[in-house]
Order: sequence, then C-alpha cells, then structure tokens
Amino acid sequence: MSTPSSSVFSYRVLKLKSSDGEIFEVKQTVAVQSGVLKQMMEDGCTEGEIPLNNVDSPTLAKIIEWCNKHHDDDVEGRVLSQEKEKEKEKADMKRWESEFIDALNRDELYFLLIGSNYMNIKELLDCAAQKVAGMVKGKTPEAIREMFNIQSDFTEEEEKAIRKENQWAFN
Amino acid sequence: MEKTRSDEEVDLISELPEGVLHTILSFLPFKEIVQTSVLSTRWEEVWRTYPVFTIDESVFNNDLYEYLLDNCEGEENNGVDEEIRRKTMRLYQCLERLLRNRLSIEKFKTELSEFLDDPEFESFLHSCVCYAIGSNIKKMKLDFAYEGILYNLPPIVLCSKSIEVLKLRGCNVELPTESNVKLPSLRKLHLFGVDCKDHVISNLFSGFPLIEEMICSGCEGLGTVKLFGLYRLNKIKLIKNWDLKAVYIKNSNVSSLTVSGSTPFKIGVYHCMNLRKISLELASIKDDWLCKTISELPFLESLKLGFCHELKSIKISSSSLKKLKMTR
Repeated sequence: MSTPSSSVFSYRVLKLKSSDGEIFEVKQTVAVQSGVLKQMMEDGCTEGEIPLNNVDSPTLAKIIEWCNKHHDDDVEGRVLSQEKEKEKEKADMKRWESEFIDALNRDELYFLLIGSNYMNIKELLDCAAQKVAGMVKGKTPEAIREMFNIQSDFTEEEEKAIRKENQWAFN
Repeated sequence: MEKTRSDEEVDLISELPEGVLHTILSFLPFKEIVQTSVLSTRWEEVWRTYPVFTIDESVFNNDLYEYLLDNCEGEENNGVDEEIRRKTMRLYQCLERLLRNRLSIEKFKTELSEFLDDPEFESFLHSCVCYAIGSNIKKMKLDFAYEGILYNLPPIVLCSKSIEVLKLRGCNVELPTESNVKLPSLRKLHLFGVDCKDHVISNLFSGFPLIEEMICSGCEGLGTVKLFGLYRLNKIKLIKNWDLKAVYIKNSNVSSLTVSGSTPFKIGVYHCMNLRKISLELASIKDDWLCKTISELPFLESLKLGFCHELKSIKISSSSLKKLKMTR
C-alpha cells in the first residue's frame, strides 16, 4: 500500500470495467504501469468507467495484483537504500514474479498474455512471454506441436523445403 | 503447471497476436526461433515478420563455437582444420543470405561470449553489420561479453540516419574517414568496455542531437566528456571509465546524472535546470562548487556523493532535496 505521505494525487482512482462487466478500482499511481491507461490519463479521459473489452475479470484481477506488487516495491525512499538491500529486494521480486507466473494454468497464462499486451504492460508481458519461451526452449518442432496442439498445415514437400532453406538450423 | 481441458483440444498459442508471439520468440536462442517456422503456416508467417536478427551461440551447431574459440587465435595452434573451415564458411553464407532475404529488420544484434578473432568471422560480421545499416535498421546491439579481443566497429555505423538505439560491448570505435559522426535519430547510446580515442569521443558526442540516454561504462579513451546543448538528454551515466578526466554538461534537460570515476575528475554543470538526481563518486569538487551548483537546481531531489575528498565543510540549502547520502 502506498504511504500516507504520498501526494493526494495517488489516491485518485480509475474505474476499470472488465469484459464481463465487473468494476475494478485502481489507484492512478498503480495504473500508470499500463501504457494505455497512462496515455488516457495524460489525455485526461479517465472519467467514469473505462471498458477493457479484451480482459475478463479473473485476468484483470491478476493484472492488478501484479501492478500493485510492482508499485509497492517501487516506492521512493528506497532510492538510497544500501546496494545489498536493493539486491535482496530484486531477488525477492524475481521470486515473487516466477511464483506468480508458475501458479497460472495454461488458459490463464494465455489470457494474461492477451491482457497485458492489450493494456500495454511491458514487464508483465515479458514475464509471461518468457514463461512460454521456457516451455518451448530446447524442444524439437514435433515436441512443440504436441505440447500446444499445433496442427501443421504444410504438405510434406512444403515442410521439407522450409527445412532445406535453413538447413543449418535443423541439424 | 495444471492442464485444463482446453489444453487437450485447442491450439491457443497460435491464436495470440503477432506482437505477442514475437515477444515470446525474443526469449529464445536464434536457432530455435528459426525452427518455429516449420510448425505451421501461421508460425512461418510470424517468423517471416520477426523484426530481429541475432547472431548468438545457438547458430553455431553443437560445439562449433567453442571449437572456433579455441582454434582461431594464436599461431601456435594448427588453426581450424579444413573441414571445419568449410563448414563455418557455409554457415556464414547461409546466415548472410538469410539476413538479406528478411523482409524488414528493425534490430540487429550479436550476443556472443567473445569476439571470434578470425578473419572469416570478422568479414562475415562486417558484411552483416554493413547490410543492416544499409537497410535502415533502428536498433543495433553488438555484445561481446569478454572484452579481451575487441571487434573493430565498421565506421559506417556512426553515419546511420536511422539508428535509434546503439549498444556496444567489447568493440573498438574509430571515426569514419572524411566524415563526421552523424547519428541524427539516435536516442540511446550504451557503451560498455569500448575503446575509443579522445577525438572520437568529442566527435561522437556532437553527432547525435536527439540523444536521450547515454551510458558509458568501463570504456577506455574516454577522457573529457563535453555534452553541450543536447536538449533531449535525460539520463547520463558514466561509470568506471578508466581515463575519465573531466565532464562538462551545459544547456541540457538532463534529469539524472551519475558519474563515477576511477581517479578524481573535474565536473562542470551549467544551465541544467531540470536535474533531479545527481550521483558523483570521486569527483574533484570543492565546498563552494557544491553550494553554488545546488542553488541553481530548483528540482534537485536526490544527491549522492561518494569519496569526494576535497569537500571539507558543506552548506546545502534546497527546498526540493529529499535524499542525501554521503560516503567517504
């Protein structure tokens, strides 16, 4: 939570409306992590409910949880804390992030990718994308297809041609 | 990770927007990115529009990179054997062709533990870098983590009209002949462990009017840094540059300034009203300099001074300052 000493401004809240109609209240200082909401604040068009048509309520709740956590740990006054403390905080945050992402099932991860992309929250998008990349990494194309149920729509010849074109990558 | 029912049936991942899939790819080794092109027509399309070209260790199959590292340098070795040499030449040709066939490349980067000190690799890389510059890329990152053997940056890079972000580690920077540095679009410059001469620096620093962020760390040859009239400059960080003697900043909108020397250095800050954060280590500053400078900075919030041994007794008067840290 934000400290009482922060400016009155930080108590202003935005009303975000998920695709299934639920309203979430978010402090402006937290919402600023979303590129889209930041732009809306700068343009002064955040009155009333802000509809987020691509984000359902469970996903929006997750996104706000992420933003709250990252806002809290970015409170000023830590600027001059000792290097050691900073490193520890960083490591704690990393751990929190991976636990946050690991706890999601595949559908939730998918909707989080869509939502963070839509709301333009780069750090969250990166974190979720990195999770998917980790699942893909080191696997053969066949194993990737199987994992994600990707149906190849290439003919045998087409696939052969692609492999031949970049033979070095398929050795 | 739990499996939900849709895992079994639906291919969700291929439905993601192209930009999200590109972000996922960006966390994979380059070879594996190329491999995804074979998954389905959707993925082939995603690969075709992927805007980054990377030369990393994954493009060298198996232990080829290690082998090349061991055998390229030094004459006492027998050198790389003929078969391997043919193999690497073929690889370089394939990669170069691949680069030239890409539709739109925005970013070119190398991520290698070390520059391969081998004429063939150098000429391959040179050709890729020049091609990338010629196709008006926006971002270039040449990263050779081990800074022992430096890559000679093709001077043409310093005349790129399009480049916005330039990050170099383990490179040697020389001026283009018969031309000044011209980087009219450059916004971010990061130099780590880069060698450059003093005249290169002064030429460099006057060639990018739109610069916003500049970080130089562990660079050699960085003697006097003069940053005058760079109105968009917002962040300056100069740390552990062995030859640093003086830093002068004038008429700039810079808000964050970090300078840490390895020996005491001079510093001058003039007409930089917007400064909010200053961190200086080993600066050769006196009491009255500090007092005067602070009085000219109406928005200064954070001041960190380390090992500025010439300071004896200081008087600070500022209504904006929130954090002050001094170490001796």
